[in-house]
Amino acid sequence: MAIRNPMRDKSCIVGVGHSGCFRDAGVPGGTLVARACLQAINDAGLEPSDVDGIITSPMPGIMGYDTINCNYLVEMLGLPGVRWWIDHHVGGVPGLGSVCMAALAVSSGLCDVALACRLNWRPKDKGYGHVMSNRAQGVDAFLNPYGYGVFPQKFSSWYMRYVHEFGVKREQLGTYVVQSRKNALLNDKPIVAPRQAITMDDYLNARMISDPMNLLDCDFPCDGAAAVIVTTPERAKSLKQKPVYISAVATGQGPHPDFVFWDDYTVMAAHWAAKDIWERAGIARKDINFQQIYDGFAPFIFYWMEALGFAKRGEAPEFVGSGALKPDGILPTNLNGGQLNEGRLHALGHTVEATLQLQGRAGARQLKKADAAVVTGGGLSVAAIMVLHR
Amino acid sequence: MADYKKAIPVPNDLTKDYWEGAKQHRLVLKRCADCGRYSHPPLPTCPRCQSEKMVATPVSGKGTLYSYSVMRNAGNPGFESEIPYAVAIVELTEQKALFTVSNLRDCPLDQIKIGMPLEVVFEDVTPEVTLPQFRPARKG
Ligand SMILES: [Zn+2]
Repeated sequence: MAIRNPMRDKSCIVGVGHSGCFRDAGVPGGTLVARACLQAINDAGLEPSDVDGIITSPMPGIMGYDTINCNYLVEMLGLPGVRWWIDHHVGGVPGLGSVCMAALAVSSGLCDVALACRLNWRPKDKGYGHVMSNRAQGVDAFLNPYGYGVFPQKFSSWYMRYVHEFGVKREQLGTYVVQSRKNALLNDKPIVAPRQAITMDDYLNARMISDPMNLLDCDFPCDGAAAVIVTTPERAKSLKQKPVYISAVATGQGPHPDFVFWDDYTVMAAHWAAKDIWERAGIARKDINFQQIYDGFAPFIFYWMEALGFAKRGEAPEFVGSGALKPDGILPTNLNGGQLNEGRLHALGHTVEATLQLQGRAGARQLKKADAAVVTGGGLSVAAIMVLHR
Repeated sequence: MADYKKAIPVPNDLTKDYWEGAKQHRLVLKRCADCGRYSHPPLPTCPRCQSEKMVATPVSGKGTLYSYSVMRNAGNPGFESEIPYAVAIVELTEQKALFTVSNLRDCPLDQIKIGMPLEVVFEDVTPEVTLPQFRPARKG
């Protein structure tokens, strides 16, 4: 079947906003969202009244405090012109999923100026990362009674299998983790990681969370919000920033809803999402200058490199260990430090950085050559990809 | 048993055969009567042929270790005093990628090896609940 992509280059990112990421922001989550959204609207040279589409991804919680939905955004930001909106849980973790759907809405004419935003909120009680109920229902009934109810634990078994099949040296992943901190030191927004370089020894000696993943392999939960404005290339002509064109978006799911019960722990939903992404984008893999790859856990980098075809199956550790992902390597990666350092914004922080780089606005982090990039979200049981160019 | 602090499985119509089987010290999975495919955790229809004839079927309780992790962090109520403990992803012999999850019994952490043969054992953790667990397979 021929590849179809009528969306290609029919929408573009023209503004970004970012509240910064904090362990404890000291203000309600809604405040962070408002700051990020108004910054993005202003960055584009637009007014709130210009926004006619909105998309975000509510979580169970208290509106305006630890989560947000479209209806709340309309009132809080004063958006009288909204005619398209979605509260969604699109795969690829919500941040990038929102941008993918905003591109769809703009390119199909449902709206002209779409605001996509994401709030992450770190619960301040000790419940975070803990199983809260001792009555385990559904699939959890087969996991939690064995002390297997926490996300990093479940992914650790995945990575254990990957290490077993392909033989990973810890220094290979360490090369990426150490570099990502170095990248983060040039990030001019508030980040959650300490502003202090780490060494390979630091990495190798970091406390194990669940073998074979250590503390430095895990991203930082945080309080933070980010937003982007997506519009048409025609509208972009009269706006403040250079447009960043969206060539292709893709989302993917694996064969099962729960990734513990899966077919193959070396193949993620990322592989489904990436299947024909380069053909759809009309951009060759070799023409990608840099990438913002989802790093909720550091080993995701290996899986994504193989899914996107930058490394052959089982060869990502060698590729990453060679230093290919450093800013002066062949495929600069996560120039803002990624979620391992900046904080968990579910790939929307990744999108903001890709946009700034492609617009030549990344300050001390700016790459010399930034014409085309790939951004990914999630990867495990749901995944999303976006190919961007200037 | 009021002092049992770990999570307890709550059976439903889909899973009650599994937990009833465990109480009788049998590992009982759902199997499609039309095409023979096992599904675990139980599904209402067969994911291969979409048949609704999903029949509770005892299995051998033999498998191999597909993967595992050693838990060194808190997060699961009742497990605080057991850290570090292993969780096994067991591939049952009946079907490729037919996985079940358990802890590893009778196996020191430094002797865990992916691919090792395992067998089921049953632990009555409360008067109502029995958990299948796995340990290294014994000869014979
Ligand atoms: Zn069947």
